[in-house]
Amino acid sequence: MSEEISFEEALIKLEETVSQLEQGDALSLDESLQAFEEGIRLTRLCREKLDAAELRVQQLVEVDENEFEMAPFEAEDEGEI
Amino acid sequence: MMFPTGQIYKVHEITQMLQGILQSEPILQDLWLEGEISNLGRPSSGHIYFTLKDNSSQIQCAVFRPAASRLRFPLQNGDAVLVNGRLSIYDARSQYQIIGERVVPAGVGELQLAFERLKAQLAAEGLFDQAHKKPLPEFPQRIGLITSATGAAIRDILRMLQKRYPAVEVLLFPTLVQGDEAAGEIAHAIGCMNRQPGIDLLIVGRGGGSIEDLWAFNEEVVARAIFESHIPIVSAVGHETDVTIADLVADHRAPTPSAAVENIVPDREELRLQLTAVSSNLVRNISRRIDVVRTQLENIQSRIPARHRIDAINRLRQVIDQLDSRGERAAVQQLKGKRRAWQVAATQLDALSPLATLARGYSICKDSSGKTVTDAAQVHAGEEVDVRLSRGRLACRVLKGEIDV
Repeated sequence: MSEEISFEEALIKLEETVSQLEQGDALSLDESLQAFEEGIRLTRLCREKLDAAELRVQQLVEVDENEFEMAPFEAEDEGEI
Repeated sequence: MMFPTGQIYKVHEITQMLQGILQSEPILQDLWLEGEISNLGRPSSGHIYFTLKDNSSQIQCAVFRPAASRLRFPLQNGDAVLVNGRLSIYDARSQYQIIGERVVPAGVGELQLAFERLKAQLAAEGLFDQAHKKPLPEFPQRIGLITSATGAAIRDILRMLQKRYPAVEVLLFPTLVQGDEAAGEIAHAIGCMNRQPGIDLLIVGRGGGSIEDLWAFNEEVVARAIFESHIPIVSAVGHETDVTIADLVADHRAPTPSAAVENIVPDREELRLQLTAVSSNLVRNISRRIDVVRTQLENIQSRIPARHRIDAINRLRQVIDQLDSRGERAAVQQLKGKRRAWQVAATQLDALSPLATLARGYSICKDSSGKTVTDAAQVHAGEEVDVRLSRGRLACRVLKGEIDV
């Protein structure tokens, strides 16, 4: 389930789904079940995204005036400030 | 012999008059005076008296007890200081003097003075106005960080992000954070970050230090860069007590770099709890919905074709089969309960269904017009009838009819 939506987007969709389901009688049973499945799928997706999240750190290196390159950043363990 | 022709004044009246003149001059009522302390006296009253002198002149200073108790460093003869206070006249001697409210060491004093001036100026220009504060994004995805690459701030921030909410990308713009070059670099970095795509939020800061160490964050060029930024900025200068100019201009002030992280990203554990709550909410809702449908179903059971019930049950089974992860275990249990209830309902319906009756060996006989034959008098010998069995049907011809009496 490696869907290309962000955690935030998944969460927004989830909220929409929940409120859809809360309207209850406006949906047919089949639509309710569909919304339910979608909701469960989204909570799982959100959880997966949270579990899998890995902090990415890059640094911006100015190679020329207003010209930048990205470089990986490794934090040093000790520093004074 | 000369006699006075005008009004004759008492000595204290002159003093009063001069006092009035001094008080009407705002500059003299709040001034900063630089000099060196001599003749320092500390009587038991708690007041402090000294002479403030420069190369050519001297003036008496009195710091009364309330102000004296607020002094942050012990005064000594020979100290170069800045005295903030008002000019007044000591009437017993008709001597003018400074009533000091604040005394600070001259070096730091200059910084403090610069701070107060810049603060007043920027406040007047509206740089601190609440109206200019940009809201912070709820879920930042790309965070720009402007601080030293080797300082405590970046370590604290990365550690905290890792712990709370690692679902972000951090883009570091390394700068000096103290010394003469620092302010220019920080301001430049803020400008550059604003030209990078997709940055939701900037953290500008450093770890704690003395007022001199933090000075870059009190410089006008940094204040203006923060104000100009279209990306929301969180200031995180690690000193809880001293508020810097950067803190005042920033959209949000965090007392320390790790507090900045707490303020800008949600906590992963809390989000997990929320997700669990949402799951149970979903289950509650769908259960209620199913209950409603089941009640409806029971109310009109005989009119519902069996095929549809089977569909609904299969659908439920499918949903349940998909819910196998630990998080939804409660949901599965609840839905399994539902499924059982459905199966019971379906069985009851089956019992009422003619199909079940046929299965027990009964059959249904219909005449050529499709009418169910319930009376032997309905058909004549030689007529064709259709007999429905549990499995299949028979085309039959009537040999003879016998009517029960």
